[in-house]
Amino acid sequence: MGVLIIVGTVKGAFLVRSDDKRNSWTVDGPHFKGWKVTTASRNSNGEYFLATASDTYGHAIHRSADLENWTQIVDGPKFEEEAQRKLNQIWFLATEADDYYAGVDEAGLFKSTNHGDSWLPVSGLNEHETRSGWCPGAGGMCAHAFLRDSQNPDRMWCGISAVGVFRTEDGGQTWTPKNQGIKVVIPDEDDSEIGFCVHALAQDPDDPNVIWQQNHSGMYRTRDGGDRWESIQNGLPSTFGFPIVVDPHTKWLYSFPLHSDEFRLPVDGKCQVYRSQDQGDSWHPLGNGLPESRYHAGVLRGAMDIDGHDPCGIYFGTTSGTVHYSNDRGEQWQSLPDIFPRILTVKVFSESDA
Amino acid sequence: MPEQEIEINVSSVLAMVTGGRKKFRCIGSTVNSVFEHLFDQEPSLRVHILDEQGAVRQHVLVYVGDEDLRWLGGLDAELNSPTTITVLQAVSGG
Repeated sequence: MGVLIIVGTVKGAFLVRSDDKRNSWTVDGPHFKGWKVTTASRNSNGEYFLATASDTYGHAIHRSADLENWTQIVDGPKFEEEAQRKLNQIWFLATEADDYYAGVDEAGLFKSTNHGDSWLPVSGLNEHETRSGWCPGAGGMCAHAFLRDSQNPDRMWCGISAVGVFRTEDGGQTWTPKNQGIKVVIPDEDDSEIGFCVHALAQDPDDPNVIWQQNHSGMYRTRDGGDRWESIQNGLPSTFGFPIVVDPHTKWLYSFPLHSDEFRLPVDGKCQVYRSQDQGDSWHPLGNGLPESRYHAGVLRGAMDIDGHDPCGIYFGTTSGTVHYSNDRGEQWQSLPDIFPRILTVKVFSESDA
Repeated sequence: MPEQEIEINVSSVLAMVTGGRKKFRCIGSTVNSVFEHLFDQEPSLRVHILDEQGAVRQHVLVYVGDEDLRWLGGLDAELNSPTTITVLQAVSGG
């Protein structure tokens, strides 16, 4: 059972396919040559979605049944003219359930109830009472993280950089900031509920209330759906980093720490993934097969993913265009031979699920 | 005001969303009306040429013949003879 990796870069998408053992790879691309490819997803029918962006020509969502012939969705996410907001980029596409969600920069959430044909703003979040206090961080102000309660689809979480995590219990009508216990990054004079810089979220597949968060200010865990977060830094070499992913079988966690928000470089020039085998209580470096020194590329928030296999495969792409992977839960790592443009997103799909 | 026949050329990057097509035959009496005819033929192009407020995107260059649209008064510029409109990206970035 092989995997498909969609590697989204600043100059297009590359489709990387493996053999059944995830040892041998073919690379096809670039697709959408010249466009940033910012995220990708698949729906329950096996149809793929891919988001493009351009500093000149703006954003779009495209879809394809065969990964060869793509059709742009004309009625995609769009701020109303009177909102005076600019939609710069689509950061995530959640298309697994019947209703789809898309998170964008400048921060906003959009929903489609017709399988992506048209999208409407989720006003309960986009016009939240704290909105006037939302401020962009170094990476802009984007709604980039999204989780859903597998046992209650009306319960969802959305992470907005430099603002924080919000939770809804009513299908997106109303949203509540859920950041207690997290160190504030941008204190707001009037509102202590915002100013928390979430970088990525991962959720326990069996207990939706257990969520891990790589934040601007450290690694955190909640056991109650975000009502209270606790710091889980034991063993990590820094507080900063972007991605966090969880193996659905073992619930082991994987992250890629970086040296401080000021420098955003690998710690001590080492390419090291950190793994937790105890739900975040402790972390340990993994590096067998990865570059051992003089390594200075980062991993962006969307550029690490995990497959659903057992043992799981972990995949990450770097800002210098390399892709590294392990097919044995992180024990041993290998690298693809290709050098891609700067990698924005890595999304992995099991070929057998399509 | 009589309508004119206009050829619109788009850049190679934009042709990625038009199935490779780079030339379009449109009619209209203003640049705006010609673009609307273009969007009727190829709806995917609207979001890439115009912004949320309906203006030409900041870093998109539109030439009417040899003239930059900005010096002709913008989208309401009248077209008095058949010509070519070219849609390009500004020379910037990496």
